[in-house]
Amino acid sequence: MLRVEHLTKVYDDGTVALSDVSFEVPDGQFLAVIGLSGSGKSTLLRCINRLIDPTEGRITWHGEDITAASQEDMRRIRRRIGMVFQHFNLVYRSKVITNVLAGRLGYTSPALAIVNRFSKADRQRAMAQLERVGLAGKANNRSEELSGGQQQRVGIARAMMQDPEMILADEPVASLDPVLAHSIMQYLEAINREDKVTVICSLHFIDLVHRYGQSVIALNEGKLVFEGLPSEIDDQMFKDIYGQEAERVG
Amino acid sequence: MADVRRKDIDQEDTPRSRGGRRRPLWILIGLLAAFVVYAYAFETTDVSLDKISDETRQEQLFRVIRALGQPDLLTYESTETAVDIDYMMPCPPEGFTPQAVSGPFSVSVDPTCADARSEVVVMGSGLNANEEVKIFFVPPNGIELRLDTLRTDSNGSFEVTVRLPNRPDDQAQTIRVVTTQDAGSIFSPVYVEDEDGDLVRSPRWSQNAVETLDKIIETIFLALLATTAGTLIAVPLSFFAAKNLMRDVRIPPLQLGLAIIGVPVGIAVGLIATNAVRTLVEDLPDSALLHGGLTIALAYAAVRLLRVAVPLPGEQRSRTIRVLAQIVVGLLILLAGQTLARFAVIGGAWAAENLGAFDFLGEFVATNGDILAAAFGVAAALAGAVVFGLLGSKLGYQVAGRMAPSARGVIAVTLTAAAGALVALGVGQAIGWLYQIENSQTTVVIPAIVGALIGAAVGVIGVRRGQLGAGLGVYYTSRTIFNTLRSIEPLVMVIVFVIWVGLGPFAGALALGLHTVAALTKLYSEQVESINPGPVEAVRATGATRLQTVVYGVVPQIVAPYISFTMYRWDINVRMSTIIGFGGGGGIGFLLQQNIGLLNYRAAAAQMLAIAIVVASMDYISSRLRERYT
Repeated sequence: MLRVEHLTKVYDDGTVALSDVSFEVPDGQFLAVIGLSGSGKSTLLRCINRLIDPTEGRITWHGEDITAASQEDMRRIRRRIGMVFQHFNLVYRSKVITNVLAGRLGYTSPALAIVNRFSKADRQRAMAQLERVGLAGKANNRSEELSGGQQQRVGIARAMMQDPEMILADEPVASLDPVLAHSIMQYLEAINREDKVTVICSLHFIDLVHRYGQSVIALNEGKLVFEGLPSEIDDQMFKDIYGQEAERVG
Repeated sequence: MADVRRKDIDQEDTPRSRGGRRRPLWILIGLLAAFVVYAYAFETTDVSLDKISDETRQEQLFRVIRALGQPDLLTYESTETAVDIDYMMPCPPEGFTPQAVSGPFSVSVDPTCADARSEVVVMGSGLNANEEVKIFFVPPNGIELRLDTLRTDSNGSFEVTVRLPNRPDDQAQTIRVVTTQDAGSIFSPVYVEDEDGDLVRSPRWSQNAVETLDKIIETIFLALLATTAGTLIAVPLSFFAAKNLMRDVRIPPLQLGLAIIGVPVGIAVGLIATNAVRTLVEDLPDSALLHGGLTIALAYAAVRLLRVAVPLPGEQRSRTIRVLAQIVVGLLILLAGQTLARFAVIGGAWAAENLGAFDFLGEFVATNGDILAAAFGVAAALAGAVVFGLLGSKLGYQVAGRMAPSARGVIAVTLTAAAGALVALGVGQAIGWLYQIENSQTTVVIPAIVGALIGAAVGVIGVRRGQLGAGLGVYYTSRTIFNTLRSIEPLVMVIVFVIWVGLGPFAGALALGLHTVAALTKLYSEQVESINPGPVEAVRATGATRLQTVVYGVVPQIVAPYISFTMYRWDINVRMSTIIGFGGGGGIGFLLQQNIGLLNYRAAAAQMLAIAIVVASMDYISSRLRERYT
């Protein structure tokens, strides 16, 4: 169970990205996060694995206070939280396999990083994950040689290397065309169903929310404006979330 | 509503139109100001067309330019051709007609006989244009008396009036005309006898050309060494001067205080350990075999123990065993380093004696042994500083966890005060040394108090905020140091190094190396700052430590620009090292300066040519390599 309580984030320049956001995510749920660009979705996801330090509020996961965790504790917590990014965030100059192996860094001794060494088991695991996303043949290619959809699959493989109990997906399909978007979402869905991994996924397209989300929260200017089931988002709700001028396009 | 809007427009409009009316005035003032500024610039830089068009100055300029156009690269052996003509002095009563002269050119004297000390006209034709001609009078004893030296005209003829010497004789004497020519040409060199009777090639490389080659090679290697050393030091430093990496390094004040206190302790421990190990190794017999064997054995043991000290994921080892193993590995590495250094020194010295022409290889190894021994001392001190700093931080974290917040605050402030006092003490000692202040009050008491106060103040801020931006502190400190260093030109730095290590290329390499560190650190760190932050964030999100994040998220992104900047810097260093000799730093600049000082422009031209060739080819190579790596 992930519990977010009264979460507030004010950036140094005074921007209020999140204001008093509270919600809960049961283990194994696929939670969709919706809202306009700049509504605080990315900040929310990054507060959960403390890539961003929240200003106020508490986040607890399995009863452990993430907001109060020390650096050493964070290493232990982060390695169980995979993250997938809108712009894939692969190290483009590195090989695909190296990018996937990077998912194991939370488990690897820092001293080994200097000599760029991973255990044999990790290498096998990385190949298995690449196979799962259908990219085993590209293991030794440079990441920048891959197409957008392939890069995002590598991103998912990297997250899965962490043996995650939760995956934070920050607009994972926003830079992809609709066909690829569904294929990526299906990978996330499979991970959620088969591996029982909690997925918190911010999305732009309402039809994707209906298709994949088990539960939805909506943010507007940093405030939680909706929490419920995807089916509960009717036209009025949609206008409340996206503003009166918004029109449904997908 | 409409009214309000119109009012807004009016308010906006009025100042603009006012500015519009004044614009010509401002332009006029601007032009006047520019006029004054440039007039003063002309005044101070002494711009003068009179000097440019002055004829004597132009004459000098042309002479220099022509000299520069004929670099002193080749030496010709000269060959002499002599044509003798019999001469009676004084005239015999029956008159005298010399035999027809046979030779490569024709010579005649008018009159064909004359009294001693009279003036005669010597004429010649059929020579090369502008050829040097010497005219001698040879009395019966065979000793040549020079009458005149001149050059032929553009037709290869000459005509000159000379005064005969006072050597009357009733035998026929000789007037000899000697011409000097360069033997051979670039395309068809010949071998001729020199003054000692040895066969030498003509033309051949001149002494100046040989020296130029020698010095330009020195210059290239000087630049290579400076670039290598500078790069090795600048790469790790550049991470500390990158704002995007350092901004996030925040530490609670208690940990920061302990970490800072840990640094000097670590340096001391590192130095003591190195010294102990060095004494131990120096007491061993001077045998290359022993030290070589020891190095291999120690290194092997260290690698084996490393598996215990740093277990692979999945392997379980108790903490005590791991820490013990880490300490032993550290000591083993120190020992191996010292034995390796001894091995290099002994082996290198042996090789230097036995390798003949390649003795410089042995000396290279031996010198590197010394450098290695010293480097291990520095590395141990640095490693000690890092390890004890981290230990201090870790200890602080554990201690802080068990304390009540109020007690934690008090202890944190105390520790930061102590750390501040410690840092200030170091600064105070440095100032005391610099200005030779023997007064312990100024170098110890006052700095300690001021430092403690500043530290306490920082501590209070830290306690209030929870964390201190230690990373930004490191960032600004290193940036300030490197910017200062960078602003000092190597030509100035070399003066200090010449005082330290004497005239020569070593001083030049040190000055260039230091400047390279400062310049590359800036260039490198700007590369780090401009990397794509996304991958770094992704690596951090996996639970990677800071070191792992840098190795896997940052380094792959900067390898290519680092290589390209290093090439560029080598290019710059080659160019710089050509002038570093002006300050006494060896290399070709030394020759160039000498020849310019001696007004020997033809020799200087050879050096300029060499510089141009090297710089142009370096530029070409580096741009090709940069194309490939970026």
